[in-house]
Amino acid sequence: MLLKRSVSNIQILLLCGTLLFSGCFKKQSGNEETDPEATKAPAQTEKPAATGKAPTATTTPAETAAPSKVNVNVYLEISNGMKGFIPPPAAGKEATTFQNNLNKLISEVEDGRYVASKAFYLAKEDAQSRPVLDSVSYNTMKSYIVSGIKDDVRGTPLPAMLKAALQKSIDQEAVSIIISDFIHGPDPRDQGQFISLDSDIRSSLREAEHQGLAIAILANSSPFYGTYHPAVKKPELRRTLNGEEIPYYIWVIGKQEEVQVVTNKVLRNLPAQQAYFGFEYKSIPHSALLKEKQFYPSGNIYCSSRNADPCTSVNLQPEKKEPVEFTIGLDLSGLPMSMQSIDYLKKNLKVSSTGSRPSIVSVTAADESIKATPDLAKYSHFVRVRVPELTANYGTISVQLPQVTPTWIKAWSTDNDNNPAAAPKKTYQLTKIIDGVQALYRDQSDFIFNATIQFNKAD
Amino acid sequence: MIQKFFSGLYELVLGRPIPANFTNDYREVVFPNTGLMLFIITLGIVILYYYVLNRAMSTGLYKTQHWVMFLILNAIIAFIIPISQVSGNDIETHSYTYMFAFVNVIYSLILFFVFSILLKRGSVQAWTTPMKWPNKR
Repeated sequence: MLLKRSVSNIQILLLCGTLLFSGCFKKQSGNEETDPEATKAPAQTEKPAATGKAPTATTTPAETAAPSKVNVNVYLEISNGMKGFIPPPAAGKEATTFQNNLNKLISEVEDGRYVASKAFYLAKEDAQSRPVLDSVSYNTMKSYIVSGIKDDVRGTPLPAMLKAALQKSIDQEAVSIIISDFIHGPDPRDQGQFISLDSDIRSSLREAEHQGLAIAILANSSPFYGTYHPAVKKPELRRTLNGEEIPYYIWVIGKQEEVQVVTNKVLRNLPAQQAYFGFEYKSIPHSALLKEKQFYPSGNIYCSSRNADPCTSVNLQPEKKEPVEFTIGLDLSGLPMSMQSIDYLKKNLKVSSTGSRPSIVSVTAADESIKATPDLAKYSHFVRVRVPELTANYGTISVQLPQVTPTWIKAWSTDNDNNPAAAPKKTYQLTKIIDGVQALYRDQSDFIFNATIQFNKAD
Repeated sequence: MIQKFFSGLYELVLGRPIPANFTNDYREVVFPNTGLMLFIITLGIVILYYYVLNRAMSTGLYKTQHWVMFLILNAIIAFIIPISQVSGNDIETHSYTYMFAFVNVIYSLILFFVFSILLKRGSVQAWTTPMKWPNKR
């Protein structure tokens, strides 16, 4: 009896033991099974984040270090209205600004190291006011620029010319450089075109937007000698000018990086009047600078991660008496030069936020001492931001550069270009032309760049 | 965990690290390092005093003044470590740094005393140093 009981006891013990152990084992195996998943899951969630970051990291240099060589198509409009820029040569007569600049331009295109393949076209119109693009050699174009335009081309169907030039460049995968006075010269029987100039320009450049191309417009003026054909034909149908300044424009259309190669390396000395459309920088290198002596923060702020470089996430806690102030370093060296100017940035940079009410204290460019500091040398501009209070426990602070129409466009536009002597450097309905260009990119981002810093309320 | 414990321990008395931009350096490096070293070094010196000098070697350093000597030695070490930690991690020194060193000294005194009370019963010559309580024999 006793023996039996002890045996049954042992059995029960054994049973309990096996149950327990199996249970334990099961639990362990269960853990093992879930563990890899648990480790996998964060890995998986991290991966997209990492890959999401990686391209930005790789595109950053790609954006700044643009392609080394680009294909270029140069289109020179040679309607009669352009003749005044190229007066007949004579010994002792100085070349006009137009001639000087164009000469440099085409020689840089022909011989420059940044141009892979090139083509030169003379843009005219045929009897039916249709655009014609004549492929010519470098020497032919040079002789046009040096010794004058011999052809008799009555008008410039501006939208049609742009469209034809653009299509040719797209087919040849080239950047277009279009040189014209941009005085729309439609068929005299069809003056209604002026009314729809903006939408016509938009339609003509539609392909640029579809292909993701950007447009840079550079405006310059040159002394004009000879017959001037205003768009507005009253009171004078034409005027003879003797050295008055008439604007001409260089439009560069192509992929953003390639346009920048052309503007920065081929054209180089750009005029002050520049406008850029469709330019966007997805990832501007930026960082909250919290430990650098030159940009010491004030108030309670620290980088969320101790050794993060760049630091794009901060913890902060402004107090009533002590608002938080800190500096964000930006590398804007990839932007067009006119956008890098400190005056432009001071005027246009904005700071916006969710969860706080920041304001910009100052915008500065890197000076020599900063360029000599290794940690700071990678940033070209510095924006100091003040955060007096938080409205949420976490959020973002973004430094943004909105797409703005440069002010010179309005100043260079006129509704009556009949007398350029009285109102020099004005182009008929330039604003309307630009409106048409802007309409192309209406649906794009409102910002040229957007540098965002995450924040959490400090504990 | 240890990070949280030690930063909590020091910030309880000192408040948020100043300058604030080095908060994470203090929380992630300086506080835990200092706290752990304080703990280990204090324990080491107490063991040295009670078990090496006053048990294994019988050096005759059993008087309270000797104990105080080691207490002060430990306090000096506890003052140096935070400052070396702060400067070693490229953190800007501030009056906060010295307050931190001072607080660490106070902690070292308390800890040295607590370890002494806990461990002195195992000593042969110094079991009544610095006083008899709580041992009875």
